[in-house]
Amino acid sequence: MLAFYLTLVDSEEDRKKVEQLYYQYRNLMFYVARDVLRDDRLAEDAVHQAFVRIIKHLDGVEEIVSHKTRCFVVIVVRNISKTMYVKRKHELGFADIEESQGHEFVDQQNVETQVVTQMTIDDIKNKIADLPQIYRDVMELKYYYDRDEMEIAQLLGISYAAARKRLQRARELVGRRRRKKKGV
Amino acid sequence: MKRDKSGELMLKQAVAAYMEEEFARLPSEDEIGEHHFSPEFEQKMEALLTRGIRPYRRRTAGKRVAVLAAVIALLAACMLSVGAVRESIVSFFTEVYEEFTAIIFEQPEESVQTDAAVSIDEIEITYIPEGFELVSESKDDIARRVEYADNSDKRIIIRQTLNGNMQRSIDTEGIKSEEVFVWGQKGIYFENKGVSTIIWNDEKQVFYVSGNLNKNEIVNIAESISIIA
Repeated sequence: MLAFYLTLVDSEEDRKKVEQLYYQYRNLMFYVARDVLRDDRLAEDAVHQAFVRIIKHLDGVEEIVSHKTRCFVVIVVRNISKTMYVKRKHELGFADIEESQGHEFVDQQNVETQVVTQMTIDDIKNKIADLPQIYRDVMELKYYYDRDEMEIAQLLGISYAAARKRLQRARELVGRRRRKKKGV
Repeated sequence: MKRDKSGELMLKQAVAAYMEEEFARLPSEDEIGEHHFSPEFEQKMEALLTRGIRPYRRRTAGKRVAVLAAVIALLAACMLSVGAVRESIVSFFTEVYEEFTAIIFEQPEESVQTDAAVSIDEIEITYIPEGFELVSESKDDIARRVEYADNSDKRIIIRQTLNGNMQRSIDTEGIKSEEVFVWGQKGIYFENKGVSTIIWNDEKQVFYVSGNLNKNEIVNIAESISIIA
């Protein structure tokens, strides 16, 4: 399997990076995937898909052995696993009507403005902790891993519109309750 | 629109603070253990090695063509009937992006809202199919979102927002679409993947109704929405 992944990369430096990633995190990724999918074979599929996507975004991976990279691979494989799980169960969650249509709403209001005028860092952190996982993951990829919406979509295996939608909803959920009413 | 850099910085700092806690929650190496990947999986990797992976851009070329064709069809459908129907005050146009189409509602200068009309109208929804119950509702001055669900997890989502405050982006590949009329106003109906959607607007706001329903039900819901004076 490693040989396959190595064919996707070009430079020797990237090859070494991929090899290190593979041996460092394959078991962790399998563990996370199996926790979601409850099936070894499906978990292996999820690991494979995750690894292929990570390779396509290798430039964003800095240190191989780090908490940051460890979290990153977990985010990717977990999202892939959950997508596989949902597809298997033919479920449509509350966000999926709009996501399945590739629909997206972009309110022209600047949500960051509303957040900064209302909340402290700790407040925001606590709100992030309360987010549903799918929204927390896109927030992490956006604001911690500095990925743009297209990269987030590719890493998570969702449409571009869905990635933007999730980010929009995440920002709304973090900022909405503390938003002051107009005139107050 | 100028982005609020201080707000974005705060989000970055908050997420970074949260990630420190997230690191601690990851499973340890002892918990993870060692997995011996199956021979079938190894064989699948060998098959992929032979085929390779097509670059992202080539895979989307066909989709871009499909999106453009859908947009042209939509625009043509709107233009053909313009003489026979009442024109809405607010026009909409589409922009084609790589993977989706944006329907952007904007106001002509002569109908720009004054400071006195900066909030959406209160509405009443008088028809929701039997079996559906309200699961969430959120509202502020510029937008409303209402969601219903039934026991089989079918959903209905109703959104309302001020004109000029919303862009709609839709994945138009493979959809069925047609012109419809709600309150005598021209709108668009989409159907895709078992979900029906109507979008229309009046001189002040845009409405969107979407759900795991057929066209008749979606139209009935849309027509049942009324503005409370």
